[in-house]
Amino acid sequence: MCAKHRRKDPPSGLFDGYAPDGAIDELFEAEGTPHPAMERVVALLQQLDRSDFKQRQRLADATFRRGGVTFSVYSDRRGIEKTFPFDLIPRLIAAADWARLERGLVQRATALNRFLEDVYGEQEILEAGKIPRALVERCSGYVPEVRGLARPHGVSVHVAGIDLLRREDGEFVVLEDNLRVPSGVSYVLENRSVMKRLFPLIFQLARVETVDDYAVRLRDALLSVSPVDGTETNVAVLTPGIYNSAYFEHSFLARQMGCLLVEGRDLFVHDDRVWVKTTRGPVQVHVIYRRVDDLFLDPGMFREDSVLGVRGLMQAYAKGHVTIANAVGNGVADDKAMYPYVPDMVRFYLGEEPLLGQVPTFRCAEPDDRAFVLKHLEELVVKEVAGAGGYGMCVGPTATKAQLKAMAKQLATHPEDYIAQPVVEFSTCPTLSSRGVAPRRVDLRPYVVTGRSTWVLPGGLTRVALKAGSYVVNSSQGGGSKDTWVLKEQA
Amino acid sequence: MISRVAENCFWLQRYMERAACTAGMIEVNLSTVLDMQVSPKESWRALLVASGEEPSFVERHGAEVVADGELVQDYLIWDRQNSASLVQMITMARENARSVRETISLEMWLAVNGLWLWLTSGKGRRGFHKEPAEFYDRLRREVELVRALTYGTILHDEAFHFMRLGMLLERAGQTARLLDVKHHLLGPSDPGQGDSPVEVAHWLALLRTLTATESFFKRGLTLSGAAVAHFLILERDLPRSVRHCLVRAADSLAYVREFSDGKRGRRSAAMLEHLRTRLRTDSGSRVFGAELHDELTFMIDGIANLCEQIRADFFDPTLAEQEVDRAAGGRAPGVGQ
Repeated sequence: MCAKHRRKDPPSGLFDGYAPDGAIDELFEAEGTPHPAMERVVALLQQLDRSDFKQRQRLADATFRRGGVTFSVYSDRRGIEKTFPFDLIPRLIAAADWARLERGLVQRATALNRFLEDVYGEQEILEAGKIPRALVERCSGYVPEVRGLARPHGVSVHVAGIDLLRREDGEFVVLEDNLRVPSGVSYVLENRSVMKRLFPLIFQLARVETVDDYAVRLRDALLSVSPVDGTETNVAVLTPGIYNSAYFEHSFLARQMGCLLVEGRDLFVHDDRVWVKTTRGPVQVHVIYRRVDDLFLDPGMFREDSVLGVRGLMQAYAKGHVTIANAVGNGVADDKAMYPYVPDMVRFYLGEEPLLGQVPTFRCAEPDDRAFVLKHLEELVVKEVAGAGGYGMCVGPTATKAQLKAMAKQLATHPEDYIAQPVVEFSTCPTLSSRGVAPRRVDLRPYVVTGRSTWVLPGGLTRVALKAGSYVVNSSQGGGSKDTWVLKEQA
Repeated sequence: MISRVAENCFWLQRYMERAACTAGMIEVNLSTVLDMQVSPKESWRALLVASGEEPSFVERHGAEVVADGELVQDYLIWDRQNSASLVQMITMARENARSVRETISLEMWLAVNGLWLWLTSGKGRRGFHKEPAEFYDRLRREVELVRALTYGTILHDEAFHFMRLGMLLERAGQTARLLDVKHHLLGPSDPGQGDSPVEVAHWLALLRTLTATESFFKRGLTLSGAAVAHFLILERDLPRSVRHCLVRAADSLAYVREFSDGKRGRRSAAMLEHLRTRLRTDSGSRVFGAELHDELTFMIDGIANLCEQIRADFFDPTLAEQEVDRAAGGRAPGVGQ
């Protein structure tokens, strides 16, 4: 009955009473004032009633569960499958902002591709002294075994996931590059399909750039770097198997591209060619979009105990009979220790100034930097160079005394394992919380696909820290996701 | 298609079929034991025997409780330690479906996943305790839905035929096994005497388990052990008869063999043909009486061996490599490039 009484109140708009909490907000300049470029779409969303919204939220959750749109958590061996919490309020990006961002992403991906070709080839950038040779050679992602092997069409990073934050001044800055096996794009596509189902009219009126052609673009990119003619090319997605946390995505992409989904045990190498074991005999595979880490790819060359890879694969690659995407050894370019040098790569290879900013980074291996970091530990975020997924991180302002002390000790003994960055204040986006719509921090991972040319999926994966005040958006640590709407230019 | 995927397809439907059979068996037994003339002890125990689970059940719970319907049901449906329990079989079916998600249709996946979610999320279990009849009814419907979607929503190509092969062979084996258990339970009947009321009740229950009661009477048959056995083994048009399943399995096997131009599956085909010949020459005379058990054992073992041979002929991961090695000149054969 209470609910009934409340219904008599004037109809509540979705954003009524929403106020940014001091951080820059993706949708609003201030309470009641959306950014001019978003006014039109915010007004559309504003019409939604909150109770109606909550019901659709439940519907979305049920849809994901029923469809098996899940990821497994690493800590469980056999994996409890979880759905990625999804927030129905879309994150909007204005057309002009996106256009600028897109150029920056293409530039960065191009430079990173050039760097990888160089570092595994002539090593001009090291010769020129732009990057310390020792840093490269010590880097855990550097794979000396692939040096000198030709990269089909010079492409190493066929798919890049570049994590961005929007800084207080409104600029997007790169937090990190993911150039090995970046995941998450299936959530972008599934989120979009749910949004279209739940809000068909609003979606249509909002005029949003499509993401539906991702799989086609990826397939075309893969075919364009095949060792044989595109029409004769067999493409396979290589997955570690159904217990892998991103299995859903592997299966999803294989389905969308209409290609084979294989596990290592489905393949073998004969005569330096890769074959898939079928019910009618061996069939050759020409391009492998692999979602298996470097070290597990070929037990003949890397980890001998790997059951996820294919013995002889690297030999087939060396002979040019198979294209591996992403290429082996990309870890050297997305290593946190290499990150500070990416702007120099842009300048060195392209002769341009970087369009995308990034976060100032202290390299704890360097004595001066280390001294500074130790002195300012409480203000800095210290990250393990090899860490990922928000693990191995020490956030100064929120860390306990004991944690800071332990960190200082680590820095004294293994400085080369760490970098430090200032705490970056980044943007919030209106998000449905238990107490109505509230500001929550978001990041953005756009996907850059490179074959013989480079293409950026409009938008990308917006991850959101669902806890009030939290800066951690990782799905493994209480993060969720949102659909990302890149708005079309006004007609 | 990829050998591993073919194997997953094959097993997806074997598990679904097994689960359906277990559910049917328990459901029918629930109403059978309501009739006083059937000893609950023997009828619940028979379920354990039919599913091959008696020894592990006794080890777990003791021999004295084999008549405890609640316990037996719980063991056969919910026990996660029991690899033959219904919930485990649906879990395995779902796992196979998940690993071939790119091969099956979205509709099939949603149906299998929906069934699994219902069984494992607690909803199914609550229904089982509150309203058993409704529980079994829904279970049956959901299993049938998966089956219908298998026929109705995917290409009837190689993957489909491996699924159908798994389903039909499993079903033929289950029919033979259920019949064997009943026969064992009741013993050979005296040909001079008609069946006792207890026997009649058991044969009726068996027909119902296999949803074959109406079909049986439509054929104008008189209820007796011999007639039921004859019907379940040899009736050409009964979808669950051993013969019916083997004839159709042979179609599917022939279909999948075409993809390798008959190079693969030669042995499987010969074994299946052997089983069918046995049924043909065996027009009823040996089908009941003391020899029935031997005949059924022959069938059950034969089908199990056939499934093994199918694995060896089509799914074995070392096959393709052997084929490459055998190919002349060391160059891999250019099949299907």
